[in-house]
Amino acid sequence: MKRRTKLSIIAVLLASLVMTACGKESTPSNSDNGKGDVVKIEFFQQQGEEAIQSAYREVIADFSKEYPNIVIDMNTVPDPVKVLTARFATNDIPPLFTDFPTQLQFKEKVKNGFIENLSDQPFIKNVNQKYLDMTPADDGGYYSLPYARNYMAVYYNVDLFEQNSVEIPTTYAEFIEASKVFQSKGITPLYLPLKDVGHIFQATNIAFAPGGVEEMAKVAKGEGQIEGNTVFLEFAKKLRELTEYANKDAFGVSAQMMQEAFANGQAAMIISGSYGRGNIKLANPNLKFGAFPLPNDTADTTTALSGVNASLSISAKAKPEEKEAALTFLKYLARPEVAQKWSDLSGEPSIINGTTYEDKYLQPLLDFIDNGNVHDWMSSTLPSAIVTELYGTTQGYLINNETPEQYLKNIDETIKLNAVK
Amino acid sequence: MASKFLERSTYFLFTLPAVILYTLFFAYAVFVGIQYSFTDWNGISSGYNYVGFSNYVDLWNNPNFKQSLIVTGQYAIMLVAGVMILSLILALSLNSLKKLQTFAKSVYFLPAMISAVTISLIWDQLFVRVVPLIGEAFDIAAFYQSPLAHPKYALIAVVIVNIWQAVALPTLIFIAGLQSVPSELYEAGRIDGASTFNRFRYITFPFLIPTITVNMVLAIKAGITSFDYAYTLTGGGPVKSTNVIGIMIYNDAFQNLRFAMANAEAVILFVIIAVLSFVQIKLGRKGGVH
Repeated sequence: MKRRTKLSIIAVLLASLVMTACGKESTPSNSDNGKGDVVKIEFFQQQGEEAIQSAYREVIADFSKEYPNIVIDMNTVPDPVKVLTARFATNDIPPLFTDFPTQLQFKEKVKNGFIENLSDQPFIKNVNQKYLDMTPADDGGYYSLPYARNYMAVYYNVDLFEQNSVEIPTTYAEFIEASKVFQSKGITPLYLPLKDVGHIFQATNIAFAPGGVEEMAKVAKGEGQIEGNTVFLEFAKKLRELTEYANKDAFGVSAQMMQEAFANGQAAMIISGSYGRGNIKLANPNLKFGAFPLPNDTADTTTALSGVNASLSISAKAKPEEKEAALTFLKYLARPEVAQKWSDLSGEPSIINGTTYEDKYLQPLLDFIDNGNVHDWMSSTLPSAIVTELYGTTQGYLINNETPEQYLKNIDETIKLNAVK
Repeated sequence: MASKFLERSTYFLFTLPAVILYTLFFAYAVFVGIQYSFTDWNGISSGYNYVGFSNYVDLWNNPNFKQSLIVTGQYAIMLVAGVMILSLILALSLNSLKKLQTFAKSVYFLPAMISAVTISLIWDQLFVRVVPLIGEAFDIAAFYQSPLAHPKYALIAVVIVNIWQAVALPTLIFIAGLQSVPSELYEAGRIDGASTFNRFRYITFPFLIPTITVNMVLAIKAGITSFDYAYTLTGGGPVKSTNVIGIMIYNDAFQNLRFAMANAEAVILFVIIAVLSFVQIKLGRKGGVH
């Protein structure tokens, strides 16, 4: 008898649990009715840098004052590229997200009808034409709102350069000369984050091996080889030489630690992405630093890595009201004054027409990007599987002290192994 | 009669949520995963083709996969050895404490309550900021850099971090095992003049064998499926020296857009674990006191 009572009590408890669970589901729709049509959409924002996140947060706060019926819920996660891919794979696509429109992966998503076509939206015309031209999908349509450009460049500590009367180098020889001056004075010339060797590999390869990415793309198609390529041999030697002027613990240092060290004046130069700028400023708002392109043998052969930064896209699978809300937000973002505010807060150079970039130390780099040789990130030409595997190959070259010849052979092998059959 | 039926069916109903959840999230997922491993799905495309065993053949010919299996094996062996030895020593010492036993037990259990990612981030900073200082102070060349920066030491460093956390639970299980040994046996042993080692060898150890089996199975499984420590500490690097199979599966699926290939890797991993667990449990049944 006792047992039965116990069991029935448990049964009642279970039943009430189920009922409360059902009850919960119906609550939000009730409150929605009371408030009017509030649309809440998730905004999957890929850039984790604190400055960029807070810039978006501010702009979203302004937006919600103007559009109280739309709630933009920004979501930034670690390892966002993979998380987003996983969400595409499971058909859980965020209604609004940032992605990289020049990359082959993005084009694959467009091809499968996951992303809304924005070609006919008037705000697309607010984007700097040169950058817009980098983003069309295979069908020629625009599927994202490019919002900023990015680059890999050498950031330099203005004070250290002035104190040691070092000029901004414009050739590779001058760059090494400058490094020697700093080294002789006990200052670390270059702080390298070889734990995160990826972007260093991309920046140095594009700077020191013009046309190198296209060569590697050929290998991926089964034509040609890198082994014996003199341009690549030159690149390999220069990359090795850079490590001679780098911090001793380079292989244990991540990109974020490099930004911190540079912000604290521990090194004269770093090779960093534009995304590092906000973090450096957060770590030390008083640091004076500028940027110049990583120089090759002559100024004419110097190529800077620059591309379109994370751009904003809308899921084609979202509900009509979510799409509408997302479009309203993009329209708002494309206003010059909003883009300007975002650019000022994030430190990212905006590519919305009518914005300016207030940083005299960075302006020379941006001018170079506008007028000089520029190459996009490798993943726009090569499948990202090859690019990321090459990071490991490059780490092996530097850590294991392989010969440049061996490194080139390994590059061939890595590309062939990871090429899509 | 009716009440008996009600009682029985109630117990059955209580298992139902678990059975349903298990079927939904485990059995179904495994089945679908195996199915995908025979396709060429890239994770994004809406369609896919069946390609038979082609993914498995590719893996067989892929040096990175073999290397990854070897790394995983080394990782598992080091983890199992480290965890088993350390947790047994810890359990024996903690069990023999006369004072503050509960307090000491909770201190040693603390790491088990911190998430692996948090632990990895803390250790990463220790490795990169403290180890070079030690290296320079004592002039040990191997410690000039974070051990995570060196292909030779990175795997060991990752395993050490993993062991630091992983000993907690087996220690607790061992303590429970130790407390099941009847104290009369020790007394009898002492009267017969058995040494400390012999008391351990002939009294404690046989009683511990079932516990050892449980802990071994858990540790082997943890070692082979390990992902979080290596991923947060090194991301598989430097030069793939810590590229355990879990990281390879993750990268192939979500970074390299080779979803079907990643599934084939996972299926192979599943088979390896199944075989190892089976052998382990068979062997564990042979000796000991049950």
